Amino acid sequence: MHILKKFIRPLEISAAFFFLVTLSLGCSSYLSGVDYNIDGPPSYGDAIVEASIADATTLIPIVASDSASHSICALVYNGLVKYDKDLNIVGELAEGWDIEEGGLVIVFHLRKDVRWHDGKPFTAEDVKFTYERLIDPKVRTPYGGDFLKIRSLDVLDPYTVKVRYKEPFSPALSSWGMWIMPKHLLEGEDLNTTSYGRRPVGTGPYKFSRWKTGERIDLVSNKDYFDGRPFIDRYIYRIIPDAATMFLELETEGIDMMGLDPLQYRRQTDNRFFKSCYNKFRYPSFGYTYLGYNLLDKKFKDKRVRKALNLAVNKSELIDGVLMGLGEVCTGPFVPESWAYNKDIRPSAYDPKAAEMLLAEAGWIDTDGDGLLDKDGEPFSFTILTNQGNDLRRRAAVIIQHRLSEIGVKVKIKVVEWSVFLTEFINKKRFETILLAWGLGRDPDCYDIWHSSKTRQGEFNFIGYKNNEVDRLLEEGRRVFDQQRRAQIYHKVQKILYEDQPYMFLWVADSLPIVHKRFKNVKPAPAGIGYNFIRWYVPKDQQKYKQ
Amino acid sequence: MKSYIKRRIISIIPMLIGISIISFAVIHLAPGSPVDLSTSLNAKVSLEAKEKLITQYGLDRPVFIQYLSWLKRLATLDFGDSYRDGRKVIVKIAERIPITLLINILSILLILCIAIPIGVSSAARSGSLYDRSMTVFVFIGFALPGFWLGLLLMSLFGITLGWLPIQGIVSLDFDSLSFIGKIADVARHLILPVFVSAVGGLAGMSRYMRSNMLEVLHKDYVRTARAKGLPESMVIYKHALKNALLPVITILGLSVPGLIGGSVIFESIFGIPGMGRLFYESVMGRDYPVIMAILVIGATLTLIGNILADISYSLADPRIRYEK
Amino acid sequence: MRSRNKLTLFGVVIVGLLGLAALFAPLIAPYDPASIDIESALLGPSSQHIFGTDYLGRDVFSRMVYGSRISLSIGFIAVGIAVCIGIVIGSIAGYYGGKTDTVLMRFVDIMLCFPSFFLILAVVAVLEPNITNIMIVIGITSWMGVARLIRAEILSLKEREFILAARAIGASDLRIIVFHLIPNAIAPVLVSAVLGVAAAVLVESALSFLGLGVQPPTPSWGNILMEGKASLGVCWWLMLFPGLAIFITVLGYNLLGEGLREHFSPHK
Repeated sequence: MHILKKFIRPLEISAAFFFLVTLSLGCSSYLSGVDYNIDGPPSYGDAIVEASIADATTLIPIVASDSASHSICALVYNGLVKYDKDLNIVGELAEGWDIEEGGLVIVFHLRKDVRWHDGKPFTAEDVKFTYERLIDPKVRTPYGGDFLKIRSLDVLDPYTVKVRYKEPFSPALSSWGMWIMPKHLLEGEDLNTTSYGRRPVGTGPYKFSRWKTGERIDLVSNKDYFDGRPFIDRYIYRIIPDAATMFLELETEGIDMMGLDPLQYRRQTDNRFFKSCYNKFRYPSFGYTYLGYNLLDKKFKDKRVRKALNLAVNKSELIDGVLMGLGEVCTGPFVPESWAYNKDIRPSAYDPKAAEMLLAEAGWIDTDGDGLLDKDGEPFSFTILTNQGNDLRRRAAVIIQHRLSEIGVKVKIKVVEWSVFLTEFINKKRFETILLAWGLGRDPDCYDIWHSSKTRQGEFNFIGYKNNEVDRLLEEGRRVFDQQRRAQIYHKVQKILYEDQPYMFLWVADSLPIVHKRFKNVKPAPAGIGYNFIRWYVPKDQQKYKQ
Repeated sequence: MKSYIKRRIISIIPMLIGISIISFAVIHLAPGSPVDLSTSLNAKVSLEAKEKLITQYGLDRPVFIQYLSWLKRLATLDFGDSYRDGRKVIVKIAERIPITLLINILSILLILCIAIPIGVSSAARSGSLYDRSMTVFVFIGFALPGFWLGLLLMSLFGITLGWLPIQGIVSLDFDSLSFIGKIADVARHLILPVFVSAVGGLAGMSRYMRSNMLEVLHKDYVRTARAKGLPESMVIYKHALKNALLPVITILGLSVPGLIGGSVIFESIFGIPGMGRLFYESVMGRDYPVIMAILVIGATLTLIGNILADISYSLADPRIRYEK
Repeated sequence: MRSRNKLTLFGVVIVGLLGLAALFAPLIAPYDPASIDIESALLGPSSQHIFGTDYLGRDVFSRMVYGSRISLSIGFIAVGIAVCIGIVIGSIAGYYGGKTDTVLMRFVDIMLCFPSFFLILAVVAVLEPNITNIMIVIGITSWMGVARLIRAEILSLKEREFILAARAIGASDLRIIVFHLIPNAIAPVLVSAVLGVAAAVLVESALSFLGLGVQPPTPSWGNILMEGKASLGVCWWLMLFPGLAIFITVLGYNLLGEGLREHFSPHK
């Protein structure tokens, strides 16, 4: 018996080893004999599993403000307009519109073939209802701002809506990308607490199916969708609260789609398994990261100081060190792909010598030989404040700290929890510099961030930037509708901002989604990959989830 | 006895009020406010919208008044609505409790099943090589940082070996499984989280058991039993064990509140939607009604657990009597 | 008994070695723990960098050696704070008894009702998570056990002959507590303090997991481990070594504590 055991051991081990090797060779396709590289004809069926770090909060679209809720709302609801793959505004629930009286009036002509998921027809009354809730002081919506600029909204007939603005407002059209809610269900409901927040009814390509809090949200395809039945039958939104385990789950193919971080993109997904089972995508995200100076602080009032600091920080080193090269230097408050971005502005090169000279010119010299620059007996030292929970920003702060120490500037890093960060530091302007990012809308209007009237507590020009020319341009940018003319205006804004350096513009990071290879017709465009989601499909023989 | 129990139960009320005042003060005086998370740094959110939210939540009133109105609602057992999604707090808690309870009960059972035999046998062979290796063994369990062990095991059993699922409590195709299949599926999902959360608890329980046992073994009646010439196994398992197990009851009473408290870290890495995450998310989002409800429920259970521990102890051991 | 001593000795050796590493960190660490070199980021262990390098090309071994200072001093100071508070409250409650005792012990009960992690989380979230605050927070949330221990010891000691004698010769309460009671009650506190250091190291790593621990660039085992978590699977060295360091430390302190407990225990 004992002897037998001795013989079996090595056999077992080699069997286990063989098993392991097969597993690590490739994904289940190797075992099932499916080759995901074959495209096959479009076909209905299968399910897609997307992973999210956080659960949604509510699916009432005008109350939801977190990205998880938005991901779901985007599939369940529609707006009057949307952005197409090249970021042009096109109709969604509206089949067309007329802009009249120099931009004061927009008349929307609605599609007549749209039905709510419960079968009731979609009409102009729903648009009016959504508008009224957006400006209702009792509804806890963060999106009222753009709609408060409306003087009146009239329903001309069941499929025509006339919106009159108090003054010409060019971001108005894009603001009608706001998801429209069903009047017949929500009228009389308290939108803050209504049970429809957990079982939404929309017009979109997917219908709500169920929501298991903290676990998953399931949607099923809307077979009568006005823009065509989506090929993928089910959409499963899985909540996996830890980034490291989310990636482990991806390795078990329990997830079909997620966003990668730079390290995962570069190193962890660079093997046979991922190459045979997943497609990775890479395109610039809509947002930029910056170091903002508190312009009320006397150190940073001097433009030369801000320029010097910009010269002393090596942006490409930051992008290499923090994003592993998966990002782009930016020189202004728009994403480089946008028509508003001024491509003529070259980022200043890394030049610590020039930085030291500029600082000396501004009076910052190491007079006592302690290695720190000083002026009027005060050493040059400041704190970079950033929020907890973002490793990339923390790492960036460490690199900046390191580089600035080389030119004699002492930097401290302070990381605080988000809520405290906002109320105690940002809103009260109790910071010297902040390392933060802005997520951007598709419209370049950035009045709220740069206009000098937006510096009150809780507003977004918290660095206290004031430039009359920029103020004027921002106001004009909101009045003008012609894209060519608006582009010129925002090019000027960007030029002045880069010259003034109220922010040290750091980078635009890349979005790095990964999608299982069985999904076909995923085609990256300036708008990302999600724009044609309803046209993604899995060929019959590659489908994974039946039912 | 009855009057003792009554007295203890009445004494809970002032303590609960004290606890609720402290909690209320801590969370309301803390910087940050519930409107931050939902409105965050979104350039589309205007200042007016934020102010509107603050008035709606009644956060512009003095903390004292807010406390009184909270207390008034609590008197009718109404914990209010969550600031985050407007749902009833009690519903939010109720949907998290079953899974947390299940994992905690399984993990306590696992701890008892392993720790008591280890403790007893170590005490019986106190000082032996066996005793020593068990000491090292349980301390190794205690010293492993839980999330570290969890991640390593996940990557071993989930990825390298592919034997166990690593996320959540059920598979994606759970609904299509047979009844037996469903049970097996849940069981497979629970293996790692229950194991990892039990590993850290072994040391405490087995050391406690060991020292109880050692103490009992030095008692007169055990010596008498030995002197009578009873076999050692009989002495240990019949006479000593019974008495050494008594204090364990106390520990069980004390672990009642722990049953509904989850660990945010375990729940995060294993993707379990339990109480720990609910609490963590509420603290981070300053969802005051949820935080208060969890703290008050937790405190009530702790106090009740203490009383239960005392009572069951006195019932089990007639030598203990409470005066008055 | 000898074998038990071996375990304790093992504990002492670990605790001693870690203490020395922390004390002489600058002599032991081969590199500056803060020096960044993006070019050599994420290198695996080699003869140059025995524990590899991290995202910013910093030497992981050097960071861990310096991190031991942070992690251990958090352990020690937090425990110091807890012991001080616990001794004061416990001895007052035990010595004076009656109403004072009831009030103080109710307070201890109330503190025990809060999940300690909530208190830590709340305070760290409110104050910024720097080293001092983390020490204080762990300290003020973990003194209750010490208070109970001291109170129980003092209750049993205060009717003993030597105390009655001290009182008879007119020693003040303070004198009796400080010079007669506490020294005789300290043994179990010492044991729980040693175990407390280990627990504090674990708490710090748990806080780091949530991003609320010691903040970079200051290295602590917790935050090195946390950084490594993200790279699980590829850069295994970022997670393995700090995890092992925490593990060995906690084990060492527990074995030492266990040895002490054995030493003070009445059943020898």
